[in-house]
Amino acid sequence: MGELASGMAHELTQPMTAILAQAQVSRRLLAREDYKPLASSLDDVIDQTKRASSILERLRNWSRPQRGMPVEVDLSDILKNVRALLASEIDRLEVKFVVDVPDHPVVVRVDQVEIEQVVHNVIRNALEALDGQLDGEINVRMKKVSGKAILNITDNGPGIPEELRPQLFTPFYTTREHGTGLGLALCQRLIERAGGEIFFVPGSAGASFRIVLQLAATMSEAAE
Amino acid sequence: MSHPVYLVDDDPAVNRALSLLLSTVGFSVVTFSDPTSFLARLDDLEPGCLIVDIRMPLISGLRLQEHLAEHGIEWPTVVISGHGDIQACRRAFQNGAVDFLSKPVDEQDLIDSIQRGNEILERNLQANAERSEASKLLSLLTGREKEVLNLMSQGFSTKQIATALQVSPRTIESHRAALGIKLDTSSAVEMTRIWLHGSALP
Repeated sequence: MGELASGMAHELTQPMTAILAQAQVSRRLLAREDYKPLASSLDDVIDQTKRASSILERLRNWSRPQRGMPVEVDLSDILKNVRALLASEIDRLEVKFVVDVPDHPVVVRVDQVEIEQVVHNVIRNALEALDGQLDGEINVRMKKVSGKAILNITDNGPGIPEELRPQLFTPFYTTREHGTGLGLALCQRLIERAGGEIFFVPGSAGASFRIVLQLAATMSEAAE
Repeated sequence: MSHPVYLVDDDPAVNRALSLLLSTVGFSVVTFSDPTSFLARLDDLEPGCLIVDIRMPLISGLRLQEHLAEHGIEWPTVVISGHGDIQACRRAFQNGAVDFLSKPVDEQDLIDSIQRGNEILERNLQANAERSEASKLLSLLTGREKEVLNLMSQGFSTKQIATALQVSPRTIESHRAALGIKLDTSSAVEMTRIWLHGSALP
């Protein structure tokens, strides 16, 4: 929760920077009786305040205990939100973050907050694995394959030793000093609740996880 | 004289607001949405003060600073950051940042930093101009004249220089006269200054 809060705090400073500057501009314009540009500055203040409150809204949603209603959401947007939250961490660790998503929406019907939590968790694990490594790279690839959305998250870190792999999704199993052993276990629970699956993909140099979700379009087609 | 301000931030709302604020107080501002587009236009830009967000995709503000330093560009840089990261702050200053400001940035802090940046830029530009002026003058000199000037700038007298170069003092006098014409000064102090500025050029 600590770095989630700091990610949110960072994201909030952007609209706040814009709001402060627009307000200070407005005061100067007012002082010189230059009223014409005032309206657009005030519009920006309003827009940016709304932007800030939607960030806060997401923070509230994240920490709520009960499940939200499944909604149709573009998986690319989920990825964008998570990337924004982790941006400062990605920057701090100087990790190259490569995203390859289709240019058309990849719509799934899920509880957005829960899926964001899963993607956040997997990417954060990758970041932690890359801590201290030069040329760290995370590859996120998304594609649609026969009615399914497939999200691959691969890092070029040290990878996961063969003997640990069977326990990856076991609750309370951890190799980290301060780990709870709940991260991936929770991910698996949430993804399964959304009717999808998450698994470790062996074979790449670092660690690679794949999340598979049913596409919303095919769900409604199936229902028809 | 006021220099342009180059604002590099990937957030369009921040770019718009800060550039409006700065142009309202009289700076001429050019905005860039990322360091790459700034670097792409670098050759066409006149020297100015740079304001960069530390956290941006592809190239961070810190990397941009380092990149400019590698290319010998000494434009003053104000680094702005969304989170008070001490590590990043230290690195920004190590890279020669004029200031490190936390977002949201107050107008007065930003204006003060830019003004300080402009003063530094002005000093750098003047020093560069003096250096290139001096080296232009020095390029007019013959090898022998440079030798004489070098010895003069180390404080040797005409007689000592003559002995060192194994020529007559009269010859040195005539070299000095030629130096005076080419460097447009009869003052040994001024000649020394030109020599030190002009020969220090990399």
